[in-house]
Amino acid sequence: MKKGLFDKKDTTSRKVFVICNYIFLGLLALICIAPFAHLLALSFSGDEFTSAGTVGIIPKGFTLDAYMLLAGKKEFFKAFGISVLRTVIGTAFALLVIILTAYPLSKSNKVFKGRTTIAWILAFTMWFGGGLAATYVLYDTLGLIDNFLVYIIPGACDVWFTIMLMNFFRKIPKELEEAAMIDGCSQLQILFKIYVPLSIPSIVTIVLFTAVGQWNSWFDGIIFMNDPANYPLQSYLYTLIIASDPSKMVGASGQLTPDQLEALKNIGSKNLQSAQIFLGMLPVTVIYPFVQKYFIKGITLGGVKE
Amino acid sequence: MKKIIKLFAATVMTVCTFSVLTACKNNNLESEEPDYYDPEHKPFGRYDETVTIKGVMEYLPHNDSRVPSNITPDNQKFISFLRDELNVNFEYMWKVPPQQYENKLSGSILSKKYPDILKVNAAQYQNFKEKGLLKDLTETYKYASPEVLKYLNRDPNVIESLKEEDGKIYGIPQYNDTLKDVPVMFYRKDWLQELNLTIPTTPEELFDVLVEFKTKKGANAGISVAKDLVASYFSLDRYLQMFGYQPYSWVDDGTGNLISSDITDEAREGITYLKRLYDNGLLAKDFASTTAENAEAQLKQQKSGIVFGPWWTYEYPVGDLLNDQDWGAAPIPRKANSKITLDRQNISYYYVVLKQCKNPEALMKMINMYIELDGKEGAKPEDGYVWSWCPTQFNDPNDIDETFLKLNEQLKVDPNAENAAPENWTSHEKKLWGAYPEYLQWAEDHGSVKFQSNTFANIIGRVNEDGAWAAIRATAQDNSFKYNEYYALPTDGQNKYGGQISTHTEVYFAEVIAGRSSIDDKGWNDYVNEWKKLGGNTITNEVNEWYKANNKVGA
Repeated sequence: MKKGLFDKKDTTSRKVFVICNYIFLGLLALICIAPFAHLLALSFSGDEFTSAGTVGIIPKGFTLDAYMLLAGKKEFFKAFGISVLRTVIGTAFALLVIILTAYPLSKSNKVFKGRTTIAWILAFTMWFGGGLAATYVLYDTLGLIDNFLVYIIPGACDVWFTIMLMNFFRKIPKELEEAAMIDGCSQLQILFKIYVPLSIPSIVTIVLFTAVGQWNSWFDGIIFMNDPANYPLQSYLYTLIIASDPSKMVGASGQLTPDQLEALKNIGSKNLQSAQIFLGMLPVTVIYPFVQKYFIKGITLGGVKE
Repeated sequence: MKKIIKLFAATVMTVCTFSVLTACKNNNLESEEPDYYDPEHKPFGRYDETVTIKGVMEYLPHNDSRVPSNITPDNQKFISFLRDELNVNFEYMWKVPPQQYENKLSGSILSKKYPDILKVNAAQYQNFKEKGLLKDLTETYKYASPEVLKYLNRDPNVIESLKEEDGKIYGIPQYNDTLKDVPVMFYRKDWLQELNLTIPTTPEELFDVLVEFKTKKGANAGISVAKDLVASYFSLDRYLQMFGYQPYSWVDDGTGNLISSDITDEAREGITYLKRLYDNGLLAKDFASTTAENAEAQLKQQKSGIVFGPWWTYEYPVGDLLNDQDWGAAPIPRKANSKITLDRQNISYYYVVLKQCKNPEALMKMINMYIELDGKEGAKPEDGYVWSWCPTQFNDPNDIDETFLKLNEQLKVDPNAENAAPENWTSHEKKLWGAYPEYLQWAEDHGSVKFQSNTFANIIGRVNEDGAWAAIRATAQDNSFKYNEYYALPTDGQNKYGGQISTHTEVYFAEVIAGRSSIDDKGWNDYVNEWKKLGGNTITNEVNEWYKANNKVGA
């Protein structure tokens, strides 16, 4: 075991390299953290400093106003709730669909006839999409517009993850399956008692990616929901940011009615905006490090095909 | 397990079939004959039976702390006024942020979910009209209240240009006084006086003032300007107008043909001038990456003492700065004999009625109501009235000029605004009048009264005789305008090549200003030739064809 940064055997050049490496990576980490620190500082700063654009990574005119105001904002918490729901339900459902799709696809053509055709159909959707208009009409026909299920169903069968899991399943020794069959297991039992427990790294990766995707997704809420009251958190934050960006409001024509001008002046609570964005990204930021260790294992194992 | 799967499949099939059938039911967008006729065309005539009108909304939160927190677009006061006064039950089919409005609208139309009334831009208007989705509004126009009629007729050419050959008219335009596009120069009056300088009236004089401001007042940024050539409140075009150049316009070349302003000598002169500013440190070194937000920060940090902006710059972003800085407004300096380019007409959007709607006149009644409710009792933010959430927002194209004239007329007889404002003024005009005595006191000593950023900046910008609107009126006096003669939808060529041509122009101009490309004869000719080769010639031909067929307006 090493104590500290260096071994006794380390040469000078090795030491220099290690030090430089630490400095470089430290700087890189700082660059990543800086925007978050800036956001946090903004949320704790007074309005006069945020609107003048003088806040860096340390709050100026420290105030908790934004958070106090936020506590009384029902829309924020409703949107937060919708995001939590879609993340939990959406991820669970997507996982189920992915596992149930990947398993048969991991079998050979002899065992599962038509496997190749189905795999190609799935793969086709990775490269080609119908475009927004066609998608909208389809969802409308299926009754998904202005329906919570639009967050859950369309994204449930992610082809990338399905292929990743399929490859993972293929690496599991066939002998295990044969032994289970001899013991009288059905296909579902084999899947859930042998394949799934053995694929935890891959599955955790899928769960995490899907959950983060669900949490961060904003466009579907805006396009497919008819009422902003049903927006998830990210869509809600989007409207908030647009409404407080003068350049977006002024638009291309540069014409403003007296009413619009007055609205322009009500802008400025950048600290409230920052507080909401900060709270919005908190859940993912907190959970990420704990599950991250499964990541590399999950992706690399699933990515190699024998 | 198999049973469960079968059951699941059966349910899915049923749901799909049901949805398809429901969608098909709504498929018929046939023209319905109006089932309402009022021989008197009463602007506020109440319907005997409730009429349901469906609309859609460009949604943004309102940011107004006076509005009670339980107010939503669906329960706000305007909607209940419509119900109580007109017996109109208005429903929003959907609400979407402005950036996604077009996507949502096309999705909605393709899914055959048609609203009754709609706000559309010029391209959508043309598209809907060509597809035969719109209802003729000739009859609807007769329901306009006297006030709305007055607004619609501010520029009779606008309505006239919308009429089809058969006399039908498919939209109600919201347009603006083109004078609102005239740029204004805002300058630090206190600095100018302190340094004993005069207001610059030519680009040369402006250059000298900028140098003085930089050396003696530390205004390092020179002028606050964003990298955008057009379409931002700090864009370059306002400075280029000093030489009579407005990017992306089509101007008469003197022979009766139109030529793109981007390849004229005026453009070359304007860009050369900006390059000179840059070379002398009077434009930020990193101007090529300066956003409007950055430019605004320069202004607030006193790094510039001169800004060319739209007429409302006093109100935003100068606003609160007025409390301890003195900003003046003046016509922009101009090169001798150059003329500012303005658009022939400036239509922001059109209200239209889709064919299946049985009560097109309800649209006009709703517009009447919006104008009528302005500042009325019970229609204040505190009552739950949110103007930005109203489906039929409408304003007087000449609102600013009217305010300027009315208040100044009144100030002649009542210079201290001691008496109440005339009854027929708009709520905004009354508000300014009410605040005027306090404003006078503030202007006197800048201390005994707190600066009210809303009203005081309004007064300084719109009412004062040395304000921003007064500067525009002064600019307008001496035949100082020429016109962008092309005001139709983009031609095929513009749709096809417009993007690459504008990139070519913007990149070249930015490079010239920053000294990375040359604007000598060879450099300029290369730019122009490339512009033509990229599709400019095709577009010029198309635009001229249109011009020959349509140049009756304003000719």
